[in-house]
Amino acid sequence: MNEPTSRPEIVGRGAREGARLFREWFEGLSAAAERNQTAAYVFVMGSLAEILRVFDLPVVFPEINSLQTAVRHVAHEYLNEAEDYGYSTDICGYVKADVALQLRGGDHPMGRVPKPGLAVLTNACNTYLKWAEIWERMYSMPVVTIDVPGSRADGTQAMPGSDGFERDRKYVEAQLHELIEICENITGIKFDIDRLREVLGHANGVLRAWPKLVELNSARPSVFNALTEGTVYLGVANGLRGTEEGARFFDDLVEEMGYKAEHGIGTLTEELYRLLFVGVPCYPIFRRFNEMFSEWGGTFVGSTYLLFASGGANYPFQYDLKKPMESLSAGVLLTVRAAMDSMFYQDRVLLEMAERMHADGVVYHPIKSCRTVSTGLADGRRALIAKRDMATLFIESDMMDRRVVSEAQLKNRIDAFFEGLASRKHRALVQ
Amino acid sequence: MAYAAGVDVGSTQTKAVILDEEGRIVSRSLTDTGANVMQAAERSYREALTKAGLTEEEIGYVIGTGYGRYRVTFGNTQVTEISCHARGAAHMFPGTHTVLDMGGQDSKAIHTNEKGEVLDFCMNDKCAAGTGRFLGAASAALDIPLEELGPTALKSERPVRISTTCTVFAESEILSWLGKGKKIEDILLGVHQSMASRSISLLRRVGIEDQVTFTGGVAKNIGMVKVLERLMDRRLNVGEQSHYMGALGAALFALDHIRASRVPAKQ
Amino acid sequence: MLGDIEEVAGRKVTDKELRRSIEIFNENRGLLRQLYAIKRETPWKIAVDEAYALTALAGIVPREEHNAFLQAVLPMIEDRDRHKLDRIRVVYEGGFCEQPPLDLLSSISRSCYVVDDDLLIGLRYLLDHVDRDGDPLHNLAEAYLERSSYSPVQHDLRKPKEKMLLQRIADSGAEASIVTAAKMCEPGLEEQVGYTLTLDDKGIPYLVGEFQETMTSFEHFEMQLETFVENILFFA
Repeated sequence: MNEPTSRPEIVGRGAREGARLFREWFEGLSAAAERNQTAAYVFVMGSLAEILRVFDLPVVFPEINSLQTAVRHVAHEYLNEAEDYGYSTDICGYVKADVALQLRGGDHPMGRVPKPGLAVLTNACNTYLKWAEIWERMYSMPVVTIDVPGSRADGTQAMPGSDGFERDRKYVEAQLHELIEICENITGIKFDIDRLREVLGHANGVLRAWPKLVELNSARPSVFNALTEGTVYLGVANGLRGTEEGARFFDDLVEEMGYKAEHGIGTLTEELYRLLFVGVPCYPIFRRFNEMFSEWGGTFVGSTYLLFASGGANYPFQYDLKKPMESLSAGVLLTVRAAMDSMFYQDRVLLEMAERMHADGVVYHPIKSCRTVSTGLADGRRALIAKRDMATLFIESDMMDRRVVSEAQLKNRIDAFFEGLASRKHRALVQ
Repeated sequence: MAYAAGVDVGSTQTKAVILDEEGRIVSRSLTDTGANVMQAAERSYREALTKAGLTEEEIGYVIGTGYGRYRVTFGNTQVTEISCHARGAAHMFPGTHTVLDMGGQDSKAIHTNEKGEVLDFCMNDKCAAGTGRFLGAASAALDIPLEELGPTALKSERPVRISTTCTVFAESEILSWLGKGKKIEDILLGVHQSMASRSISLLRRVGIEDQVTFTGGVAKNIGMVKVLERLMDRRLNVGEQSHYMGALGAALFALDHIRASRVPAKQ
Repeated sequence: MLGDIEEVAGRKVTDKELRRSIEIFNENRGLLRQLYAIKRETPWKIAVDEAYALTALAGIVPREEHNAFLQAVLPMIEDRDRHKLDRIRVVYEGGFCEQPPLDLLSSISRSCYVVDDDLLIGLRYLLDHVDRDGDPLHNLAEAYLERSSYSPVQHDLRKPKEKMLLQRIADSGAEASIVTAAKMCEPGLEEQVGYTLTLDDKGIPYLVGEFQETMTSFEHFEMQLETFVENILFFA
């Protein structure tokens, strides 16, 4: 048997590189804003970055900008400003933070965000449409909505090879051609199919690496925190999709995590309980939120967030560079549809995940901002418990609005959950 | 003989319970929490000690619970009131599988096993509408003492519907009904039913399994007990200790520690 | 979709049957347009909650029955002996997928004539006759795409919502608008901002509110509405 290579310097590389790439991405955006250059505004569930990169359009993810205001503890200022402007307390916090960002001319704690010259969205989230309408009103710029046929009912998904799938794929492809035409008009750059092939090749790197990365966390102890570090990986997967650096980052990350798994190097927490996280993290108290779990030795080994917010990277797909447009439209159809479907029958997904990741419990986190991801979590939890006697926790807060985040209440429920987990463990040992 | 103590620091009231080694209650105390949580915890503890005729040294282990549990600085450790209510209820009523705790400012439904271990729980801590505070608001609006709310409500045959979800606005809804000439008992029964239906939503989320034990300060309200029993179509366990269930559960956990420390360590 | 319906119904649907259905619905649309014309021209003859109930029936009984019913009732409404009162003419806009309680509508009718609205817009979504001749599925799709109303949950670049609202206000001769949204309704609440900014820009008075299907007390809303109406009547 070979001696394992000792390469301690790669441990922590992903965190360092991820932070650097993020910073550089924002620096690029700030520079674009200073030059009055506009950007393409896109969303995690179907960003179409593959096409946009062909035209060298700077890419802005408003969802990521918004969550960063919460992580940096200034979201409340943005939310207040949007509410003063007329938006209700009950609507999506991401939307409101972005409205305030626009009202401030792009002023963001991480730099300056350029205005939109184009918005591209899919129908994966109903709020995307309303959000884009806000920019339309503010800037009168083109909004391209890719209508991706969703699943009409469980078990009826048209799969590649079927007539239904081909019909849906052609419908998506036609819209992609419309998007290309609009990009040509805006940028004055002619569409280059070879450039698309290049971009697709890089995107393939992320698409290949992501499922491997997620699986590596089945190691004991787990190698990354699906909640905190997962958010950084999501940022890079989305923000740098289709770029060479993005592809390299994920290859390196898989290498680092593989090394950690091999050498039994875990996260900073002494792992006593392995947990799955369902929903969007609580960004206003991001670090503290995780601590309330890690204090008890709880680590997050998996998360549904890594599914629906990965931009489709969780779906096993590789672009065929010989048939770029056909393959791209198939990929968009499959991945966006999978993102939409990921919110249905979550109990099945979670039970599988719990099995693969050796999870001890599931933490459900519905948020006030988003009915799309939160409605149904209560039922989903019941369905899960009915199928398997699993420890679950149901805690409610928000991903942006600290007014509805109560640390004391969260801690009360979290502590009770771990008390329950401890007594389960004890019972299991005794039996 | 070593004794075990539990101190439950709630947002409105602080309770303490002292148990002997057999698990019998030797004393209990109740005091208003007020603005200084630490002092409330100490006051409550001292009162219980005095009533029991015990000194601090005779207490083998102290556990703090309730929202203020981390302020029970003289305690050995803390346990959440969810676990404590479950434990206390199972102790007082063996056969308990569901616990409903309605406190001053939150309410919770707990699904337990026979040993009082928590299998699942669901809390309403976002709003006062299903809690004792709602009754306090009704008491103020109708100028009727808290103890009389339940008995008065039970006189009603035609309760009104209270639809407001917010305790603050419920006051104006109550006054609006008074203005329309509705009887006080009808309004009160409406208030109780509104609270009870919120509680039952919580209970359904964890699953209602016999026997159901009702704990917390609001369990002293006979009107609430009856309304819940009617709505759930079953008898509820309500004990004289219902208000002290959290402190009792904490004391039981403390007793566990004392007993465990007696077991000789394996060589 | 037709395939799914046929599967559930257990039989095939012919073009002839579809055309016949289109005819019946065309008649219904015409009658509902007539009802709304009465509301617009002589709003004192029918209150908004009454008109709501009449329209809502379309979703409960077969359209043939609804047609017969409206044919009988509309002349009776026109003949009603009611006098015009001192109320303001408003358009009531709310993106109502969740329905406002009838009591809320009656509280509005106590101080306003609702001369147009988007109540039950789903039942009145196609604005015009659907072509009988040719491929019925094609005609239905064409009507839906080209000649339909608007809603906060639809995105169509040719139908910006605030523009459509202004059109509605102009066409009905309204002097103000009541803009509500169902509580927690994201599209409705977001649309409100677009609406109100435009109404501000055009100097059209409006009242903004929220409602819930389960609400039972309307005093708060009615008080605000009365204040709004008073301001228009007294200080116009």
